[in-house]
Amino acid sequence: MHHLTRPVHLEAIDRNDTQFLLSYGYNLAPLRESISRIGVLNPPLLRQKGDGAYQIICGYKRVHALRELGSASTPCAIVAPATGNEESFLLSFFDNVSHREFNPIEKSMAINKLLSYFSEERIVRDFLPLLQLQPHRTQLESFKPLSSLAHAVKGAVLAGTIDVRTASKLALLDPESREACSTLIAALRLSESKQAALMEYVSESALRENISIAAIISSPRLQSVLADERLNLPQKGDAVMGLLRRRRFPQLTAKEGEFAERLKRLRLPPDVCLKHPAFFEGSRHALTFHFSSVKALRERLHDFDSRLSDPGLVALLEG
Amino acid sequence: MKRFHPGRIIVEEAAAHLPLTQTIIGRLTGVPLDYVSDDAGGSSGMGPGGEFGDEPSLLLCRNRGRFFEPCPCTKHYLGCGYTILNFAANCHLNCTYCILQAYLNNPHMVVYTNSREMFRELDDVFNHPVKKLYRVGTGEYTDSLILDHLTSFTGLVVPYFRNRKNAYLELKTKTDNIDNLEGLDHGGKTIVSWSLNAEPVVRGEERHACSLEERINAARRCQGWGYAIGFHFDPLIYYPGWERDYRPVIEKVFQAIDPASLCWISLGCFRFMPKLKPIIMKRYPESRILYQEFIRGHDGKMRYFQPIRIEMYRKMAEWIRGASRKTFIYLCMESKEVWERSLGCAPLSNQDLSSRLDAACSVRRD
Repeated sequence: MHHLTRPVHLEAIDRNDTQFLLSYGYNLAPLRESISRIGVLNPPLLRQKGDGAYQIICGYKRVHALRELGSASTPCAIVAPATGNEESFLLSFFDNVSHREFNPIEKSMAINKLLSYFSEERIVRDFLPLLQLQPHRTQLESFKPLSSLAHAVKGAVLAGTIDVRTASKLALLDPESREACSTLIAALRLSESKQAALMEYVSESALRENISIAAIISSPRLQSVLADERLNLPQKGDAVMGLLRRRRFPQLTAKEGEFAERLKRLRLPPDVCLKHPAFFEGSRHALTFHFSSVKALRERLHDFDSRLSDPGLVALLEG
Repeated sequence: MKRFHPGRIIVEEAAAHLPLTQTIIGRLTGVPLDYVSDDAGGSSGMGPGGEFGDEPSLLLCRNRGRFFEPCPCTKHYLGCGYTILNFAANCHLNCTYCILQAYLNNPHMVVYTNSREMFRELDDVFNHPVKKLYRVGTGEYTDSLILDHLTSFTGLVVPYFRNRKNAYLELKTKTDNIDNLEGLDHGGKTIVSWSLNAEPVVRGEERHACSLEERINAARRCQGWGYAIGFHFDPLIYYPGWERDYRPVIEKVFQAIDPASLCWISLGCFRFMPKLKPIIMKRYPESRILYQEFIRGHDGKMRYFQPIRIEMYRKMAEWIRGASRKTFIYLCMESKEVWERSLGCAPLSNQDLSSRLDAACSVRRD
């Protein structure tokens, strides 16, 4: 492809035209420093529009940095006016993908722009691997909504406080619920698995109770946990997760609480662990304790045997 | 209920000449017909959970596998020793909870038209039995009667079972597509069963199936033709106030059906493989059936928390027994513990349950 390279006034470049933009959340300072020391080695690539203004295909950051440095013009490569949108976008895409890794928001931007030109199947097969994503539709579906999120949520994704899968679910919520959830998750700095569980608890509780997610998050009990200055962040996280789980599974968690309470009343030795059947499905309990010799084992078994006449233990196991 | 009418017929070449293929095509004059190479019909569809359109396609093909197989009951709960006859696959009723959404991978209604091979296979099984009695159902991968106006399959299979000493046939349906059953010589060897549910569940989750009234009326007509009748409250859907809606269904059943005609009533709480959840969420976002208290059962399926199941079974059984003490009630894929706590007794084993159901087949109908 032949490009004409010539100086272009920066004012003639339409920086609001982001049709081919694939950058988000960047830090301009190093580029500004580089340009001020050695200039622009690789000129921006532009296309002239019908109104005479130039559209940036590659080099948004360079143009931005040059303007911040007070430059009036810079040499630019200009593609032929007949260069189509798809071709121009692919120039931008391959230029970017060849020399840097996209962050999750940029991957989303790329996917959404690719969808203007290609089928989902083609994007999954040919383009996701270039974005360092697995060639699966679920990846496309996870990343696609991210670019529609508010700046604050995108920032939390880039900072790692909101996981990509959580963010893609947030994108599907109404604005009020999205705001409430993202604020809560970012504040608690939860692990990925806890974020997923939190999203499930609040969205399913909202459906069960026919209320909004925001109403669940703004409940006085949850808000009082968040405001409790005696709790550190992990403790708040655990307390909030416990509250939300109890709300989502009231009968199961009540049964778990009852079991724990009755177990406590038995005053078993501290190294003895008695577990109820998983989800109380069936009647197979598990008992573990430690011993270091046959004699010690015999003593432990004898001790436990004597406890089997305790009505509290019998009720716990057979109740 | 609107009868199934395809927008397109796809015929695999190897099945084109078969009599049943020709019968079905003859009943669908004017419907576009495509012939495809063998085994191509099943691969041209959407993935699991694909949506049926208003006029889904009908695939006529040979069954290259076995027609007859044991019901894939779970190992961890009591199984009933059922066997399945696969003459067709898929269902356009689009019930929100349907497991077929996760099982099947193409959007066509499928009929296996090599019925002569099917009967040969059945002959082989029944002439060399490994069980004393076979209870055979056709409603596992489809609704037993949903295509009967096109296939007249019941006209073949009901008389066949009439002459088998060691087998009963159960036709399970949510339709009233029973016209072909009238006048058939069933000899008491065919049980016609309806899946029933509470009115709000029928309206919300089984929207394309017959209404409750239509199902019970169809059962009453079949009773009049001398058929044994079965009912399956499966899946029972829990929601606050469920009792208010389920109890009247039982009352309606016993107002319409003589308990002497009833083989059994089965109860099974809603359960699902985890992979079905995102499919239901995507296809039926308005449905609320996924949001009760589910736990992962021993078989990996999501089930209601056990006390909820026990409560539902106990009350359902109480209402059924209140109407008819002799009606045989069984639980589908439940543990002995749940049987005991809800029904007050439990089969000793899978074999015991199977024997009890075998005995229930020969219910007095005079």
